[in-house]
Amino acid sequence: MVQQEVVVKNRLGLHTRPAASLVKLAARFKSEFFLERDGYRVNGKSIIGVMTLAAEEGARILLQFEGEDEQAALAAMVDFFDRGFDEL
Amino acid sequence: MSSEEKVRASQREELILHGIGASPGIAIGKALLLKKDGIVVEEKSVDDPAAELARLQKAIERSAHEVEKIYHTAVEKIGNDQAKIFEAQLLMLSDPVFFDGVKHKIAKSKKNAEFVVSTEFSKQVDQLRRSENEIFKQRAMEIDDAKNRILRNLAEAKLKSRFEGTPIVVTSELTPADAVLLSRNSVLGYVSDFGGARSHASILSRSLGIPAVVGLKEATKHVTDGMEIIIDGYRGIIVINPEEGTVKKFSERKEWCDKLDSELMSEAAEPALTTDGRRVSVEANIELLEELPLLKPHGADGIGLFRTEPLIIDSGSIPDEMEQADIFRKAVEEAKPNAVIFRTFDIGGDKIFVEDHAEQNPFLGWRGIRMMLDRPELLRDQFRAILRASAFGKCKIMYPMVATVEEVIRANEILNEAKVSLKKDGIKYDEKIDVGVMIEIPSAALMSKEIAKHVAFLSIGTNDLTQYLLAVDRTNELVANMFEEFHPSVLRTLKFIIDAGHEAGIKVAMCGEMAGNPLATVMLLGMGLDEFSAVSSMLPVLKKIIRLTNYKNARKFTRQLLKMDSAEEVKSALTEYLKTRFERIYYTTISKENSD
Repeated sequence: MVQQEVVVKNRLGLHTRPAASLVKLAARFKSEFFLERDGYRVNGKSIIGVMTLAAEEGARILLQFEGEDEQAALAAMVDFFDRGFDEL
Repeated sequence: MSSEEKVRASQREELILHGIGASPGIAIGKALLLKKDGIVVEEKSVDDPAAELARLQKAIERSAHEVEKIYHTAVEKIGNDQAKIFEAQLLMLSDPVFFDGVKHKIAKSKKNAEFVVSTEFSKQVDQLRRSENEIFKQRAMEIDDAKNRILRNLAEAKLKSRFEGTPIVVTSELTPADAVLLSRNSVLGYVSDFGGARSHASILSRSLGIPAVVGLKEATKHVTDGMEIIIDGYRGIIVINPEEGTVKKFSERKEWCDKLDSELMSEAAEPALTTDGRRVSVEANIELLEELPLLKPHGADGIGLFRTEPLIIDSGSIPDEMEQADIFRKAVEEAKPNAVIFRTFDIGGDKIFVEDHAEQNPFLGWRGIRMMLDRPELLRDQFRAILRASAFGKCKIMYPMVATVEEVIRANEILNEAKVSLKKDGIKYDEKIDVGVMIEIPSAALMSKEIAKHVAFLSIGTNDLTQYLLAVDRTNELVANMFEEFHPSVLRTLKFIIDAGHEAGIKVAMCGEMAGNPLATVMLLGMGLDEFSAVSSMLPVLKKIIRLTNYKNARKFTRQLLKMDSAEEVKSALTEYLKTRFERIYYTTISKENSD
């Protein structure tokens, strides 16, 4: 398993549209994917789950991947967070 | 006594509710409650969880199909970026993690799909509502939307299977889509809590010949599935749990009305010729292809208004040129040797097909020819489709929601481009196809004479003209009672338009609601109207009145009417006229009184 903490950078936070993009990105990898925020944990392949994170700008989120392509998946997801979900 | 017990007790008593007669006719039958969003979900144990899972799967698929349609339309109409929101909706409906959880729970708890879907979604919504961030609180609504969509589709799956009888459908609000969809089953009548006589769904009920009473406020509270009810679409009442005597009374009334109907139908083919020899044309408004077989038996002198936007509502997307051409050709062949007037897409106002494309003031917004001129490729395709159909029979083209002369000129230019391109493609069409304009905006009414120089006919749309003249939104129940097409300002505008058209040497038609109102017939005739276009079911009535009217006398009478100060005065004079001259028509179509 690999994990890394990231910060939500865009002004509107992880709202509906980025949540959709995030889930689509996660679906490209075989690894299991979980996001955790203040002890609340959701499956990263569930858009409904990701939406309930209610992660606003500045929120700290722990990304966890487990599976054969976990390294590549983590790198891609960290990059997606760093780009501010392409909404910067 | 608990509220449930009260309801049960009241089930045995006859109860009369007053609403609005939206579509004429009497029906006696068993109620079928059509459930909508926001329903209370019951918790039930089920014996066969596998059947529940199958129902859920179907509901999810149907929901996804709906959202897909909306998504595609949204991409076309409001662009990729805005449409993204529907993509998220689609992802929600195919959320594997969430629905695996739901399915697991159904199998384990042996509860009904509605209950599990509702509770599982609610958990997620509650989690989101706990957020202090306002934006995220609002996201809860989007999840709620997905929930309601699935619940509705679960209910419809149930509805379909129980649709074998001939029920009277009772619902909170009837949408145009409901009216169309349900009419494909055998329905005796429609009853709804909300809505007015001029709502799109009501107009549809009339054209489908299905009796309807709307605006009953709490019909769904009093009615349960299988209850016996009577609906009287002439007078806008329903009777719940009628006593034996009441059933007898209404059966007799129904018989009497049906008899008049068959008498009128037997004379329907005769021409609309006044006693002193003025010939007018009485044509049909067509909304659905299902109505085409009604043309001949109702004596239609052609189609005065063929609405094209239902093609979009029906299919959920904009049909291409060839699809449209095929449909138009069917209408043309059915109407032969008479003409069909095709109105270009009138999208917007209350006929929005993208549910989430909300304008603050849709009636003053992007609709009718405005939208089409912004999307010239759509208009050109539609022109090409109509022109293709014109090779098979007489067609005319009509532009809706015109406000200025410039719009007419621009639309005519696009029509010419369409003609040129068809000629290049070697496709035959009627080169002299007539073009007309709907006069339904006050600015166009005042400019009728100028507009008339560019077209071959005018056609008055009374619903919109009335609401724009009086500044009354006919779908807003708070002011709907101020909507008054007999207001002297409206009547004088009608006369102005008709005179302007005649001065320019062209014919003036009317395809609005008023054209089909028997109360108005003598007055419109007296104003000099050349063509009446109305829902098919009313044509035999209009023809009967016209055939028994003297045109010269009608003109005199109308001059008096146009001098009156109030709608009340006008209506009472017209009511008196109809009651004295056409008593039976009056009692079946206009009267609110008891006729027995």
